[in-house]
Amino acid sequence: MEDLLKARDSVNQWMERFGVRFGVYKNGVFNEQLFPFDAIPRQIPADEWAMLEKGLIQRVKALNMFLYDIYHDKKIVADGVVPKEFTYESKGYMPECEGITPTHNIYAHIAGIDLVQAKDGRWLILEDNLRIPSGASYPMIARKVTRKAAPQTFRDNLIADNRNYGDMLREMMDYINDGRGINVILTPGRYNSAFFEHSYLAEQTGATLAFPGDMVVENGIVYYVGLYNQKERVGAIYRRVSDEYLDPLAFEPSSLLGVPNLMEAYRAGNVGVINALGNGVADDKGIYYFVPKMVKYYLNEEPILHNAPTYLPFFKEDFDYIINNVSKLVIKDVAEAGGYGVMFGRDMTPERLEEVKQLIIKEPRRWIAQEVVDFIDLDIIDETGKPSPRKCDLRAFVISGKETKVWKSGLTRFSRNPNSFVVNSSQGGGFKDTWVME
Amino acid sequence: MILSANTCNRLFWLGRYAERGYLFLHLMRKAYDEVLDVPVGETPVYSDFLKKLDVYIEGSLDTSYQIMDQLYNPETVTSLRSIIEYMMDNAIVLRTEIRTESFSYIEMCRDLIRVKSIQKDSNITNLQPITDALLAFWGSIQERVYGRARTFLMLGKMIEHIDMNIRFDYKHYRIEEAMGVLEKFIEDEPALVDKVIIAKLRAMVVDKEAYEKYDPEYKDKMLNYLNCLVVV
Repeated sequence: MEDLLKARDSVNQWMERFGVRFGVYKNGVFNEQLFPFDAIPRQIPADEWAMLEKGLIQRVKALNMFLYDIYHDKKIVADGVVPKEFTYESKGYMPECEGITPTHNIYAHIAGIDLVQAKDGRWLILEDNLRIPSGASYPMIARKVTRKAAPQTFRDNLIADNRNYGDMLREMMDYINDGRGINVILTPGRYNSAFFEHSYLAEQTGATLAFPGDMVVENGIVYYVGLYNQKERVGAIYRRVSDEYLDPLAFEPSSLLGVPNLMEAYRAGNVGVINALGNGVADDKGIYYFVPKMVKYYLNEEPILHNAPTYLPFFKEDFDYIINNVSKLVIKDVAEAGGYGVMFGRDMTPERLEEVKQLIIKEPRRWIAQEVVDFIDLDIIDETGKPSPRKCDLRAFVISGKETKVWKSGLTRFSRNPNSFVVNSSQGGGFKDTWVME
Repeated sequence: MILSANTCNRLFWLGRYAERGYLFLHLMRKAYDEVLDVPVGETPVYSDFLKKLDVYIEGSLDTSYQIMDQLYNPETVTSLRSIIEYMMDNAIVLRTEIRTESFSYIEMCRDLIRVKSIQKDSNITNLQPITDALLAFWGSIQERVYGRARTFLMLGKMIEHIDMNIRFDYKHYRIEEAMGVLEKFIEDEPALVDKVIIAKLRAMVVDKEAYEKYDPEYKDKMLNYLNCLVVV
């Protein structure tokens, strides 16, 4: 791996040249910046990966069954496995999706599952992202560049090729498309923080990159409008626009990002939407607590992967524990994402701890609490050019089309601040490639 | 691949700005060279370069100020910096049409011009990598981009090429040759050009005698037709 470490400047130059950036809004100003890449990869041995793969597939299958159940039969609520307060009162639940069955009954086509590895070697799930998980394009392009910059490393190590993510996406999109028309990736536009990813994935999958205003719905059919008003039917939309902005006639009326009447076409089964609308009900941080129970309920299997120890103040026993131990727990706002709304009790002043307790007492459904997982550090090359340990997580990508498959790689994010556990890119984190060894 | 009107418009303007950036540097180098032979005390030929680009400077002419302004000032719409930023504004949303490899050459131009702007580097020979990257960009387009996307890029490129050639009093045969190339791309998208205007432009291009008088009014008329030709 020596040549890879030596080539890190060249790798970063290539990434810059390919425009591998993400956008950040700070004080209302949009700035594009490079996503800091660290050349030391995370390596996952083949046997460990095999276990992860099985566990991830199991989890995503259960989540897909949960989503169907919530919008149709509601058995899991009737059987008391998941309380209604965590389903029908969740912000992510969309009554407009009641009774709609997406093409091939798949909801979470692209699931981004965040994991950490504890110091005892166990992998723990931190979060399920079933709406618009982003990040796969970064390790994909990083691999392309590192293979070019440090070929010897890739001759000396048996690493699963991860450059097939575009093919996996295309295969899934074609399956969801069902031969109805073209595949489209719908982006909110170039000022979206993940615009690089939208455009790169469109290039890699051969899909058309559509901007707001590029599509219309006529008689329940979605069309992409070309030059001279030429129209081409759309069969599948991999949307990178949030549910609430997707159709101004069904949801947020002021949205300029969506496609008017898209919901009508979706409800009629005339277009596949990737990921399905209404998935937010299953990736709410509160519902996360119940996922192992879903695995048992729907699949009648023991969960292979476990959650980080989590408490719900909604339950009396957990509530008492949280109030008495808040100083050693991580408190998360279920409505937030991207590393926002995460508070470490150990970093808070007594006054702030008291305020947080009052917030939990006032709105117990809004919060979850987790034990601080002492997860393993991975080395990065720091500003001085020396290896230095940092907290890292792993976002694994599970693609559900004809089959459910796990991409043999993932986005390993690291905290740039040595004292921080927050790895999100929006909070200044960087990324590494993830090597699955063969 | 189906292309929206907006995408076609962006391809067209990417083609124009990429050609403008390339020719700007080429012509500026020429002006730079000519300045060397101007006797001390006379107005530098460099001011002609600006006039031909419709840049009129009020007050005294400070050559080094003009050079820096025209190279690096992002507030000056005719500056090389602005041309490259506009090029990027179009290219960034066209990755799927032009491919990442072609896009990378535009990114390289932008990265370099931003660094040089900070350095206030007045030596234009240090901007040669921009010329190289733009030539590589067009090579990459030939290699990777086909169909309507290429047609729109080339329409933009050729219109800009003829525009700059007219502005800088290129010989008639050069205009005629370039017009011949443009006509080939128009054949691919005949609905795109205004038929009355193309007829008028053709008539002016074939009139060698009138063109070679280099009469400003005649040139303005040609430029006017040329720039109203495509209706995207």
